Amino acid sequence: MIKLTIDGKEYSFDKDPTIRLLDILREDLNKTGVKEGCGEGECGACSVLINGRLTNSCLVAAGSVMGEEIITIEGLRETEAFKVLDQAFADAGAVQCGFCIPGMIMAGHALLLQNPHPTEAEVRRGISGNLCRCTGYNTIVRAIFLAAERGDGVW
Amino acid sequence: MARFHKDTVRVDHHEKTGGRAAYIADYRVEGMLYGYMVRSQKAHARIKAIHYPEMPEGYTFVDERDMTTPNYLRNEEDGQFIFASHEVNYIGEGIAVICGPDKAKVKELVEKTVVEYEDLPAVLSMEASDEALIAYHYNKFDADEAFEKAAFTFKETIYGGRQEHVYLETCGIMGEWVNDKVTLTGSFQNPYYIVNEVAEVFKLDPKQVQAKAAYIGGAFGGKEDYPSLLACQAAAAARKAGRPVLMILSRKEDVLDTPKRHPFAITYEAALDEANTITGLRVRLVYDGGAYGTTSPTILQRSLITCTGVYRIPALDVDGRAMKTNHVPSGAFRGFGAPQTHLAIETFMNHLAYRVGEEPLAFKRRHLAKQGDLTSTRGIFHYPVIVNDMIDKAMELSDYQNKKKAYANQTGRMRRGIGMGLSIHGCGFTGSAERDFLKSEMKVTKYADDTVEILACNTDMGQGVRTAFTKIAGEVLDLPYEQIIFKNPDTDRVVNSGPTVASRSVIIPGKLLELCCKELKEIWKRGEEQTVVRKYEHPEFMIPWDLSQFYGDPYPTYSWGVNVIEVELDILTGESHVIGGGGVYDVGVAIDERILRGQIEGGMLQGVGYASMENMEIKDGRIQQASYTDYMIPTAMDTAMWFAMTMPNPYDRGPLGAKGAGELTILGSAPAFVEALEQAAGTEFTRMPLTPERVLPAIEEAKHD
Amino acid sequence: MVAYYPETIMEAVSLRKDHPGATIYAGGTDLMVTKKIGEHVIFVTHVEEMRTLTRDENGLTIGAAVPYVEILASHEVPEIIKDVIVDIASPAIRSRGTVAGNICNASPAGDTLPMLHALDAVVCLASAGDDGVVCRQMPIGEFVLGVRRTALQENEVVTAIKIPADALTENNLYAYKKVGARRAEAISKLSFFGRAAFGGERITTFRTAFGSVFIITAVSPEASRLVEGMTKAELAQKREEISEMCLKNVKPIDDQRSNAAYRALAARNLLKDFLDKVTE
Repeated sequence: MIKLTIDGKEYSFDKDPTIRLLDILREDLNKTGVKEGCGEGECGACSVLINGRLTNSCLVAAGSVMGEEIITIEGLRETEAFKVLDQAFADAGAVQCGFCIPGMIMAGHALLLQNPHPTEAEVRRGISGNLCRCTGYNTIVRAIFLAAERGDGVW
Repeated sequence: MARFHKDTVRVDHHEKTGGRAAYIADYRVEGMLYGYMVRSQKAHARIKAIHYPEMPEGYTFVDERDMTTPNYLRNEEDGQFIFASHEVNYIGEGIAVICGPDKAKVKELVEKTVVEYEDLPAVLSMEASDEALIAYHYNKFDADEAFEKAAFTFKETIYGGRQEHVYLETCGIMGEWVNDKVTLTGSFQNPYYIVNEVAEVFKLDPKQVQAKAAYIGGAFGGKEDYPSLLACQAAAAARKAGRPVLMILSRKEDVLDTPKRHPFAITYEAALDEANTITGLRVRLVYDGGAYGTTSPTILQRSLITCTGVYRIPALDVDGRAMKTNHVPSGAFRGFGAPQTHLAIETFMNHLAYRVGEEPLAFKRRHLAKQGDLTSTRGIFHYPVIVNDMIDKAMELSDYQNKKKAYANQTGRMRRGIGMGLSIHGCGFTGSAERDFLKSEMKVTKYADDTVEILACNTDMGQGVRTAFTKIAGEVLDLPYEQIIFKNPDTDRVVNSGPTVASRSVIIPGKLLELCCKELKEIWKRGEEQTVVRKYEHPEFMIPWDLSQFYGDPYPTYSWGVNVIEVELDILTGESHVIGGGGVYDVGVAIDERILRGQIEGGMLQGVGYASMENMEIKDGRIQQASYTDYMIPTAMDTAMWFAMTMPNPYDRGPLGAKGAGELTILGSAPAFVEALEQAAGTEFTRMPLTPERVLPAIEEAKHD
Repeated sequence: MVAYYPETIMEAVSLRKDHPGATIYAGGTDLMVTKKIGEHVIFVTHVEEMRTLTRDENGLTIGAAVPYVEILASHEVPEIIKDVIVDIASPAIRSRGTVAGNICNASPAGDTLPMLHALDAVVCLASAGDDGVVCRQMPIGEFVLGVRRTALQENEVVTAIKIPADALTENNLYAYKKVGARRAEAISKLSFFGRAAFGGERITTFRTAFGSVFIITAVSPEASRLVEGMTKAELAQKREEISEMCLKNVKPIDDQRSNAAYRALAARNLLKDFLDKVTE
């Protein structure tokens, strides 16, 4: 039995322990805010936080994260941190097609958790595993700066 | 300041950030099955037999034998089948769908399906092909005469690679039949393309076909025509299974089966007079068109029309062909044939300038087109051309001259360079298609509660058309934007406002929207439901387009761009990366500066990727970089903060003065990158993309020269 | 599929004894791509002894289950190691991926391998004996045998990687370069790590290691033997010969990421740059 804590709730799954965490999130829990872009850890659309660290849920065997705290965009969106990021992304015009965005927000949040006032280079590195084909990234970099500025104390 | 000049939060922003926006892979319908394709493993072969594993209850396979109606797309001559029948023409081509309730089980059944082939000779490069999918030739006055009188001539061939869209969401469609009506929901740019194709193939009245756009996770032209094929496959599967079938391509399938930007070889030969001014140009363009025609004809038209870039060339002799090969079809991709010609003409002009001993930018400025000049096809630049002012602005913002000088003589391991790319994009569909084929309509309905709904089929794939149309309507009607509704289109509800392609949404349906709203405002009655419909009217000032002669105005007007790119190069490894740059654009008037900035920055980086790291090779019919691990697009660390601005030049026939913008933004950064890297490396390049594998040997060679 | 969750090395090695060849899962970032997972899976994430990172007079010990991100965050880890780690994949992969996983994956492009070779790293292996855990240590060069092939026995578990203190002292000069198609999240086209240590006038240690240019990391013990004991001037004199020695095992191929000619040329350039620095 795989026992997981996801977005603050506990779940049990009678499944192969090497099933991708992404499949549990999307198929079993219908948390479709978590996207699948490539299935091999290259695009970051499936990003979640595990114990506060950014992780590709497509490269995580569900059985390997028992007892760890998993946060998806659907949990994060209920928080103050999300509100700040959401508004910053709006004001920076950082969203286009939106498919990478839940993952980008997770990456931005993970970065700010570790480093509430990052430099430009640190922001770029922080989101370097999250591909975006629409924006060219600069609006996203600006959005994360804006969030860091406005969210003093949130992270 | 008018309200619309202010930036607006996108109408779909909050749904997207919170993960609530439903893309097609997020759809769940009662009784839904998953469909996956059995695909060709051969570049060219006859299918002898297909051996399916035993299908468990609830699972079924669908192939050409299930197509009682035509099994081909567009027209039979082009030869592209919904399900490959008897023969496959590229690796990845769809042969059959297997569908069933459990994804993993369906994938397993696909893997267990054995297709027996008999190999046929394959055409494995465009050079090896002697069959053109499409070819055009045209003359502008007498180029031969220019060459006879020339004081100097220069000839060079520029090569470019295949580019993949890398929209983050793979293609996907759900098909569902209810009685005799089929509904296709999914990720596509053009709902009415789906309606027309599915109606044609399944012999239905278009009213029996409904296309509904889900949220679209990027497209860039990659979801222009390919979804019509997928829609037919999904419709066939759903019909046989008697259940809704959801088909989501895996990333690998998407790479193998969806069209790419055409790889090219373009040979330019210029004739110059004693004053080193170009008097004539011969252009020979060859594309790898892949196995089927798809959108090659219209792409080739745009390529040939724009083969002179922003320049005034008095005489032309232009030939272009897209060759048939056993490769995945080449097709639509942002810029639609113009990125290739821009990369080539800009680079050629630089090299030509070096040959005549002139600074490239000065040489280019002497040849810039201006208002009233003839275009390559003897049409007219009817509207003001402000590209000279844009160049001045870009130079100022990038400190261009000082840097160009400073980077002239460098030593040490890390070296820099700066370059500029000039670009032009004809607004809207090429030629007379708007008048003859598309005949777009626009419908606006005001409800009793005084909310206004835009009933158009244009899709928001990230470019922001929902927001742009909302702003146009709100501005004209003088209503709060919250009172305007513009949903993802459903063809049961909306009119055919034409495809969402060719940077046409704002200038064609957007203009019709402006006219509808003006009319609505005049007849506005509070508390009453009112509907206004407008149809496209062709601008009377245009010189009628004649495709057979490539004569006339293929576009009513043009948008323009100036890009600067600054790079740093490691001469030990040939690796380069962007350290600065930006773009100045004339798009008439920006409907939303912030959204436009997003288009500029995103388009520019796609252009940089095109010129630098994006490399997709096909060897023996097989794509070598068939995953995101091997096909590289830039990350956030592969770019720099850029300047991005527009210079107003209102277009009287565009809504609120706007022209097209989306595609233009990809054109100039690629040649700017090449020029910058040439400066840093101290050598010239003719084969793109400029991967370290190409750059490093060139540096070594230059050392020995 | 059966999963096991050992909490001690003893439990982990016992599981490998009972289920020889059972898949050991640390970060999973390679395993979940290759999907080569056996019927028995041992998740070692909770083995406390394998999650520690320590530095003492003998050197640096990186537990086999320590994710890259913790190496980057540690004050015990010298910058040169962090320079290599931070170039690996992406932040999300560095959250879970491990050095031990990187070496057990035994890819010719393994990002940590040239560094570990040049720093004389040792792999700590454990198995179950009659009286408890039996440990052995093996130089990295003996551990990685070929493409996806290591000296790890079916009953063994990698518990840690040790880097000797000598390799991390201030009298070491390092050169490191990873060449990828882009600046983040790239599999290397080739990589290079060079190290030279000095004792007075003499070069006491000399290492060069190239990744992605052969089935295993290309090193040259002959060059090390020849150079060690030389002065800079002597090295400068024999530079050509030494250079050829270092490149002897650089036998690159064409693949989807690069080509042989480029790899050979770039390897030569990076070596030249390193030799310039050493003889400076």
